[in-house]
Amino acid sequence: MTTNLSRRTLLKALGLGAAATLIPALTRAEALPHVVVVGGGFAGATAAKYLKMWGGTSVEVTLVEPNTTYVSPILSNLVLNHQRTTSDLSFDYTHHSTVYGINMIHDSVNAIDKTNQVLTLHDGVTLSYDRLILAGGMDFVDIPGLDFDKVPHAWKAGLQTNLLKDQIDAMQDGDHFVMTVPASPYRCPPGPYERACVVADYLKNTKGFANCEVTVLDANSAITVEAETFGAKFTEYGVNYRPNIVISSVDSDTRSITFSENGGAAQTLDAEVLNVIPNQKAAKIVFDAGLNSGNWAPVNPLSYESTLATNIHIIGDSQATPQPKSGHMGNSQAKICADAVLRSLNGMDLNAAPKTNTACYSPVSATHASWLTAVYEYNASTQAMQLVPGAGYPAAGAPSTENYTQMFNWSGNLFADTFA
Amino acid sequence: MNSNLKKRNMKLGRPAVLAVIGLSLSGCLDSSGSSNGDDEINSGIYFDISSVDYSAVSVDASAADLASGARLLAAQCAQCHGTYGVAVREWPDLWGSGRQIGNWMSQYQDVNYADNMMHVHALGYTDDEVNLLKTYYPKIAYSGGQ
Ligand SMILES: Cc1cc2nc3c(=O)[nH]c(=O)nc-3n(C[C@H](O)[C@H](O)[C@H](O)COP(=O)(O)OP(=O)(O)OC[C@H]3O[C@@H](n4cnc5c(N)ncnc54)[C@H](O)[C@@H]3O)c2cc1C
Repeated sequence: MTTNLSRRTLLKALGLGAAATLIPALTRAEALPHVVVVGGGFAGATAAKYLKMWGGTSVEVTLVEPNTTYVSPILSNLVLNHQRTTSDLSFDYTHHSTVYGINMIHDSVNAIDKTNQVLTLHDGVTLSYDRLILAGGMDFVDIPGLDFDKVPHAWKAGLQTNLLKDQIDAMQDGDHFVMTVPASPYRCPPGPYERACVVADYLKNTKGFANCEVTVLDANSAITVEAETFGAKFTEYGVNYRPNIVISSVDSDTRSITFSENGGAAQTLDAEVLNVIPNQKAAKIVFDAGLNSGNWAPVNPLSYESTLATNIHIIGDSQATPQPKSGHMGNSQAKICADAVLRSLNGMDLNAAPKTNTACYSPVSATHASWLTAVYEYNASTQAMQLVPGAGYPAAGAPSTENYTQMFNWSGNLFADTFA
Repeated sequence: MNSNLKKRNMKLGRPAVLAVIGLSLSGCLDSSGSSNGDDEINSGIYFDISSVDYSAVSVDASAADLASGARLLAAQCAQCHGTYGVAVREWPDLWGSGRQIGNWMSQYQDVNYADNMMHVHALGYTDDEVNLLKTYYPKIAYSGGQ
């Protein structure tokens, strides 16, 4: 369809409005701009899909993702208490290639040549791009002695989730489960507290263990979100909550963790199951490409373009805006980014007033869930995203069975919007 | 405020024939037609995202003349209501609806809906933004199953 379209008609067809200046029509398929998306999680899979949904045949889109199956971290705490399996939370990229015409490459990106706009994949193949969208999620800050094959994080879902599930299943009455909460900002603010509740409930109420101890070692000075909800549940379940923790090392073979509390002397705690969720930073590729400032990647929230490089956009957990690192938010940012990339490829102004939103449903048992949500807007004077004032954000809903059911309505739609 | 009432309210504006198609199809795709969570918790496949076919969506050509930004704003509903407002499972569709969207957004601002996630989302958008949504969703048609 591109050959005979005038630029003006094309812009209309793209839904970008008819008011842009006329520039020469696209004439050859080879001249199509190429957008490469790196990472097929909530952010990247959404970006690739919406680029083609909105850009149609005016743009070529390639999605580079090493795995053929994506296991959603969202709802993965429900694997630990046997309410779901990782296969229930698994998605593939069939719709991306068959419905949307996205080129799928199952490999990872090793290097970015920013000057020549060329990527090198793990297998050595190179790929040139007009626009690059990095959606690699997050990585962990090292902790001495930590071996994830023995002490799982289970913060990226799949094998890690099942490893932690199996360890919990092997627990006996009287055993000690110790987990850590990373320093903010980290992926899914309520997630660690949610996990502590789900595990404590499972041990106590499903397995019937009256003597298991659950300890939460929090790097933060207090529960970071939904403090009332999680605080009450911790009391109900008898969870031992300890804030202001700095971890110094882990012995993965003996499952013991050494840390200081409130700046005090080093102490060590042994556990039958140790679940260390380390502090976090942007995906490795962001650091390798020199696109980080501190632990995260600074971006312009009108487009998610890096403030450190042109034609490279960064969305999802890796980027540095104050918006929460959630899959829902990554999906939301992906649309702002896809729209901005299409506009910039067509020489148009960016949308000046983007809005995003986030939502997390947190199971606190096998029957009850709470929720947390917020809407963000762009503040032109600070040039940053901020909570929309006046609506009481972030807003939370107390645990209920109704919310437990709604959790699946919400996640089903988020999964469909990302992968269908 | 229970979810049955919500579902009924939100479906009110749907053309009768579409509502019927939607009901019969969802009946055979999974057992989650009731708002009682027990069936779905115990059923095999929880997230059959193939129950919608987004390739069966059509966008009216006149959508191209809408104010710039309408489509992007509307896409921010899709996290919870499905791409183009074609929803899976129990949450309401938005496709094909115009004036109703305005009604729903003001209904949901009502304090009676506190402790409902849509209540706090309805508070987050200006009248101008709701008007943009009202221009966009009537342009969407869907001929697939649900
Ligand atoms: C227990 C738990 C509960 C959660 N609950 C919620 C919730 O209720 N709501 C919510 O919104 N969020 C929730 N989250 C958070 C959510 O899962 C993450 O925020 C989300 O997955 C981030 O999306 P992303 O696309 O940025 O990263 P990811 O989903 O991690 O995707 C990144 C992808 O990039 C790929 N990749 C990385 N590097 C490269 C490379 N060099 N080349 C190619 N590909 C690469 C990876 O393989 C991966 O598939 C939860 C998380 C956890 C752990």
